[in-house]
Amino acid sequence: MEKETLDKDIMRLLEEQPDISTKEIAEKLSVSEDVVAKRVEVLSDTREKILIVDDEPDAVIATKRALEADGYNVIDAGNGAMAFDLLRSDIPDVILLDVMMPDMDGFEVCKRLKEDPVYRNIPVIMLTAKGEIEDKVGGLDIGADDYVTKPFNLKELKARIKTVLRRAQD
Amino acid sequence: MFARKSRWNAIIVLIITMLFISSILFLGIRANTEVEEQFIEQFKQGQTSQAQQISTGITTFLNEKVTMLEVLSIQPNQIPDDNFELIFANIYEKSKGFYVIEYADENGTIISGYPEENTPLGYNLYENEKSIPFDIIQQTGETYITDPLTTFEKELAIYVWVPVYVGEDDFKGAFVAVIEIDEIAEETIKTENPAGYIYLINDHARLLYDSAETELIGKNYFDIVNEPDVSRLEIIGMQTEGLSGSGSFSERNENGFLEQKIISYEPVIWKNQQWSVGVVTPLWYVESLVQSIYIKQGLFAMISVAFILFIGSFIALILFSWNKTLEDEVKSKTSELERSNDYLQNANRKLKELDRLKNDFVSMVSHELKTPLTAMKTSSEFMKETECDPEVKEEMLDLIIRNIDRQARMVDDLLDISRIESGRMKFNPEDVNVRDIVETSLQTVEKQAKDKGIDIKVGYPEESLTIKTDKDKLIRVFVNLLTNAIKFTPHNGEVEISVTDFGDHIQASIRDNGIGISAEKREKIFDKFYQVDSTATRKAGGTGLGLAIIKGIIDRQGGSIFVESETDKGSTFTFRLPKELKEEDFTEIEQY
Repeated sequence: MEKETLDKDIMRLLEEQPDISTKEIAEKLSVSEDVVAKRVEVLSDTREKILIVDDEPDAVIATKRALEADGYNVIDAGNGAMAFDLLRSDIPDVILLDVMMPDMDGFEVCKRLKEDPVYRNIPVIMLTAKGEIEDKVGGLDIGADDYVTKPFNLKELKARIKTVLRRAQD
Repeated sequence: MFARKSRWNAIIVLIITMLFISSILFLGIRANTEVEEQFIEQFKQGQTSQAQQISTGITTFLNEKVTMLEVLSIQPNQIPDDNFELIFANIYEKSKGFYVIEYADENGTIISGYPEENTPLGYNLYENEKSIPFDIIQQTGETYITDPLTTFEKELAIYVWVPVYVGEDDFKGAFVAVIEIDEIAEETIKTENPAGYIYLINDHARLLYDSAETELIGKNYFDIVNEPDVSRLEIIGMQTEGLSGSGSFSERNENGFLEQKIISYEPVIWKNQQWSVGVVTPLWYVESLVQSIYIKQGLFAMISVAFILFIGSFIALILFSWNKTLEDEVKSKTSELERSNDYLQNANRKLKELDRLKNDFVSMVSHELKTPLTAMKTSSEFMKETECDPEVKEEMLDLIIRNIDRQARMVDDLLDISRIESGRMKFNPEDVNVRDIVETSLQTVEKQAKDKGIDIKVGYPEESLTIKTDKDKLIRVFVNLLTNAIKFTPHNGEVEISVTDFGDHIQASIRDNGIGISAEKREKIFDKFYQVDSTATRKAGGTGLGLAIIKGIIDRQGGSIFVESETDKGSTFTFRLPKELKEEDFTEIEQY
């Protein structure tokens, strides 16, 4: 919420003075210049944003690089709790959610996302090993928009991302 | 259920016992009544025969007296000069029972008699108007007996008149013999029991003799009888008519209570006299004679009852113990079943648990194997599709190689785990110097430690320490624990190894000052695929099997491993290992 007001204030200042520097904004809002710079960058980033939630760093890196090469803005979180932390400042256009994670698994994260009115409309694609869907029926029932079986085909993942984004824009 | 059954048994046995007892009592009482009836009948017969004896006795007694006088009364020639005095004396002395024997001449004057003091000599019958019997015998020429009369001495007596003749028909007077009834009774009536009494009445119901109440003698029996009992009157009636028989009646005793009595009566018919003798016995006396039979009967019944009770309780006891045995058997069988049921349920639970563990293991293994595959696939597809920067390409290739290594390690670890769990892990014991092992291990992790600026301190015992164990496996234990310690220790942190000699075993500790492990996680740390670190802090490479494998290695050699930790202060992994790994331990391990 704090960040939202901060964003609004930054936007307001930018409208009033289009050539205002980040330093000036920081002074006016009495926050650090770094924060303002970061927010400005985020606000000016027009790429579609994808959040990957996965506890395997190598899996994240590979997917992240591939999607970044396609022009997506990719952010990542190592587990459910970190994902919710991140969501407070960044609202992604789509979430890739790994199922098999310690502490809070992907189904639980998805369920909590869909229960929250702020995040309800973010499309969620579950990344799951084959069989997990059958084991825990409800991957789609709990509100996931789509799922991809690991190890996935990169083209297929990209196609599914595009599909859910288009569906969301409609 | 069984208690109710045994109660029913007891009730049935009780009922049967009661039936037996009541039938014995019924039969006993019935037998007593019959015995009593029989006995009374017998007693009556005895009493009747007694009455008959008395009757015959009286007749015989009197006949004897009269016959003597009659013999004497026919004189062939003349009246003796002494007027029979001598003969009278002879008769009187020889034949007891006479009060007096007199002789009256044809004029009716008593002229002689014996004993003299009882003889009213010179007493004339005509003058005293007592001539009726004298006249009767004179006319009939036969003996005549008067009804019992009261003598001068106030005794009841009979007068026997015998006509005296000389020759064929020369009437010369009469003999008068006075016989006191008392005298007759004394000679002929013997009282057999003290409770009863015997009486004698004549045909006018006049009481001639009564063994119990002498003061009533002479009175009319109908006047004496004060009881309104009709049967008594009937009996007296029958006696006066000269009938014989027996019967019963009730009479008041001296205390005024009505008493049942049985009577036998018999006529005494003698000459012109007709009397009747009655023998009376109270019923209680008769019953008292049967009493001993009753007592024996009662004793018999009691013994029988006691016997039946004994048998009954014995049967009840047998039934009860039978039930108890049955019950015990059912109980033991039930508990056996319960035990086996418990055992089966337990086994089932264990099997389910094992099945669940197996499924969990399989799904974790599949996940762990797929994860590096996913990363490799994604990165290789990405490189194939896109002309990427050399930098990114380098990164992707590193990632692929890293994941291939990881996959290979995972397969090795899985094989090790499988060997440990099935007891097929091979140990090749040899003499190894612990210091050499630690040095070798340190060389392996040297780079990792250097990268993080971590200083590793080592503490050994002063003397060189050699143990017999599998060298490669011990190195693996040290390397694994050191790798973990370095991984969780912050940059420029500190890791310390210390090895201590404990005689028959060694103890090695690897301490770090990293983030520590919470108590909850400490419990699971040696489980397969359990990883303490959450996603953010984990660096690629761990299989989650390392600690499970080294625990397996140490446990199989008869050692132990445990962890102590304090959150944010660091953890200490300590293991103990026997110095000598014996041959039998291996066989045991092989067989495991």
